Amino acid sequence: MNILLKSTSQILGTMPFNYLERKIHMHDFALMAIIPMVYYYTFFLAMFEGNALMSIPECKNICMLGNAMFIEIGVVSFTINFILSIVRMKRFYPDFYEKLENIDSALKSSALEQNKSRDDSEIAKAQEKVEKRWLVKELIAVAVVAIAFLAAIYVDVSFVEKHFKYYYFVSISFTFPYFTTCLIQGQFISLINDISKRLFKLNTLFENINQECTVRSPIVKIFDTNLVDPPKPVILNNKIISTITNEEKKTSEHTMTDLFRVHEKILSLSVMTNNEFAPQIVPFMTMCFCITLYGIFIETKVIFVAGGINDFLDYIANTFVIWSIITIFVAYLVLRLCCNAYNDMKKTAMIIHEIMQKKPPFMLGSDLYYNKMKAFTLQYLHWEGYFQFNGCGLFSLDYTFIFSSVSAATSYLIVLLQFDMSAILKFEGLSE
Amino acid sequence: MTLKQSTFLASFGQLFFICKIFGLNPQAFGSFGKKIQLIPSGLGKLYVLIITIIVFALYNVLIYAFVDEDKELRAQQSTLTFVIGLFLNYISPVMLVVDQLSAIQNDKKLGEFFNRISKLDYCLAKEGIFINNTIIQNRLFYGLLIIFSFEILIVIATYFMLIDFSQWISVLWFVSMIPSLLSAIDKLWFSNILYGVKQRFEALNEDLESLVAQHTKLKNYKETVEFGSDFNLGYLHKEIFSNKRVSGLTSSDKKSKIKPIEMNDLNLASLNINLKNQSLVSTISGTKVENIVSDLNKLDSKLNTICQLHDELCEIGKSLNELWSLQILALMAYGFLIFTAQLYFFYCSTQNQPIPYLFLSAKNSIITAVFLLYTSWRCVYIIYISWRTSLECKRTGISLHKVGVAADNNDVYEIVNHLSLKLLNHSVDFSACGFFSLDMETLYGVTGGITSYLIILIQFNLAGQQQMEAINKSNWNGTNSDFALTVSTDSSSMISGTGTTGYTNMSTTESTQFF
Repeated sequence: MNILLKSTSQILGTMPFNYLERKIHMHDFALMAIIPMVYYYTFFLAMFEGNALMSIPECKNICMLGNAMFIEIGVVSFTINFILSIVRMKRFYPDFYEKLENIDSALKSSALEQNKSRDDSEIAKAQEKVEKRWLVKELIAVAVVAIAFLAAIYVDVSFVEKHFKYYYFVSISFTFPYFTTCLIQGQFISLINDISKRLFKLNTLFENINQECTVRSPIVKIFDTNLVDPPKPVILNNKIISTITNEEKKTSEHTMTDLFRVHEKILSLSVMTNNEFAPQIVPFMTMCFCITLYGIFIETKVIFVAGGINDFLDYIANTFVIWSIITIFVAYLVLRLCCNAYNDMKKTAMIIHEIMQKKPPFMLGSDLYYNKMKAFTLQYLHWEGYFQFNGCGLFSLDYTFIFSSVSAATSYLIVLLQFDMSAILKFEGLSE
Repeated sequence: MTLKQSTFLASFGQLFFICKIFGLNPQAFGSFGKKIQLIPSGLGKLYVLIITIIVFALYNVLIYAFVDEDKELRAQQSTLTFVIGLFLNYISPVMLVVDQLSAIQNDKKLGEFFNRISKLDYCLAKEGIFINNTIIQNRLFYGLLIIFSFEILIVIATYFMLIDFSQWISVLWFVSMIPSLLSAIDKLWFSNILYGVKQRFEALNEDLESLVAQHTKLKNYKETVEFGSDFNLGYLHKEIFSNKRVSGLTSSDKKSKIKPIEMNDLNLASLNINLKNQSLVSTISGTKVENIVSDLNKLDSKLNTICQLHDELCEIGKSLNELWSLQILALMAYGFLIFTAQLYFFYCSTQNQPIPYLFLSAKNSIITAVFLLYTSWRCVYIIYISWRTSLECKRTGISLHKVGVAADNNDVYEIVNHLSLKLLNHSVDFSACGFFSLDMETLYGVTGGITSYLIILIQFNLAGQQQMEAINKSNWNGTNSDFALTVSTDSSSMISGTGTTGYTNMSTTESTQFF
């Protein structure tokens, strides 16, 4: 897991310290207890003691509604996310990393096996290149999110500095829940990222086998059905075939079984991760949807008409817009990574199909490899029916979700934009 | 191997007893007590019919008794609210009638259905799979507890908080609870039988997983003693090969047919491998593993039986769905309409508009919240458990393939591939009369539906209000002092441009406390 992400989420109490140990020490959970308490206290101050924006006379109806909505959506999603994080305790992470290590070692050993029979530095180079690209992508994502967070905090702080002295403290109740829920999604993203890296490695190993199959020995070509002249019946006994195969460079198809096992392990690991995080993804997506809707609404109906008149209103609108952009970006990352991982899983089955079509030499001797690969592809069919990255089964986490949520948002927006706001704006002294 | 533990049907005894009292199940009471069987009875059918007619009649009396209360509503409101209200009034008795009529229709089938399950249980027991039926008993108990407590809580709270209970006619209010209570109890049958089916699917999967574990253990063990390193050898070849080697090693054991495990034991003893491996051997050399490994046919027949049992379970699931599909459709329709209506009338009541008398509970926010929770629980639970069951059904194929990969042997692969194609065609997808499937995606769709209908209804309401205002030209003041509601209602009060009370009051009084 990314160090920056890990340390921030540990400091902000969304993850216990020493999360890789199975044993539960109370002091690992100290921050997970203190930080939420501080947050709930500030929430209490803001909501019921009137210490926040809502208590200021300049902040009228729309501004107040926005403020209350922002705080309340925040507290609901924070509470759900926080409870689930506590429940997760240390049960999940050690399991996850143990399984990941298991997969890694299996991958490494089969990679070694494959390298014995071949010495391609090109593949290693290509892999290095891809790994570099992964790293760059990761860094870009982290940087964008970090900059967005900083911008959000800057907007908050600069506004508060302008108008209040002690608002800093209460301000925690405002943006903190959004920050932490995004961090939890970040944890999910990084775990899926780990999984997808393994899938990529697995696919390169399968691709190696596939590449080996394309290089055919001349004798094997006799068995090819699409030759120009009809082949004469060739009598080859087992002995000849075995001598032919022995002469060839040793191939690495025997690693296949291990690789199939690894594929199965990776898939069950993704099922586990998805089940663990799905209850947190659902409220996050809902939150993202709600604040984006209200953000668009307030921008088009209020700020468009009466922007720049009331500082507080502008501030509320800005926060909505900033946080909706950040949450949308995070949600997009979640969807993108899930989609990529899912496609990688599919790709493995595709490679196997390709190998089967090529009828490589190792399939001639016995039915074993044919049956093995057939079993794998059939199993993948079962997997396809059983699993896809999803949010508690409510929606699948791929690009179709973007389509469905955008269409839902449009229909709500059409209804919302029909509201006649002129009377209220007049009432608040925002327009003539 | 005792089959004395209670049968699946026996765990429904409590529920059956309660259902007989309320007239939900037409089956004979006596035969259940003696033989634990559901046998159709004419008298029971008559009783169910009578109960249905009585409840339906009482419900009508209730509606007509309170029709006067709605006069104001008819006068003041657009006809829309009134018509919706009237339509909604009848959804719960309709649901009850559907339930009862299908129960009468299914009286014979339900008994047959349970016989089928007990046959399946017998087959499972033969395979060494035992199902714990006491879980169902506990679940039924808690289900009944939840249903009764919620229904009674809601009715009593409404009765004492919102109804003028000085009039004797107000006692009729308790009738309003009966249809939904009865149908909720009826759904307990469905959800718990379904849970039982899910348990059986899980047991099958676990059995397959245990096979996987045995094979992987064996495999690891073989690797440690460096036996069978040649990958291309088929399983049978290996066995022959091993026998030869053993015979070379120990000539005294020639006449007894030597199994590979025993040979390995010998090998191991001679190789003197460390303790860890020895412990592994001791776990492997259990009779079960030996049998499975030594006899491929046994594995074949085992997998075949599991596949057949899976098929039978799928069929059971399908027939279960058929038995209850109409009732579930009614329940989902009820849930959707009532949920939307309750929210809409809750909105109306916060705007101080009159609402239909039967939705009186919408006047109080806490009762509304409890009611919505209860209604959504009833619908979501059924959807959730159907979804889980069909997922569990799909997992069997994956577990089957795991066995294949763990054994890693050509013959096993052939068996597995053959069965896998079969399993691909077994699927149990639950649906409500085929209108929609009972999975979580439907829930997502329904949630979206409820929200959009609610927004449309509120918009109509707002338009109506504005029209009325324009006609009356009177200053209608929407006061809403309930702070907890302000977020949901403020958007509307804001739009109508009248109710600005909520936050401004607070802000003026409390701005002084701002640090």
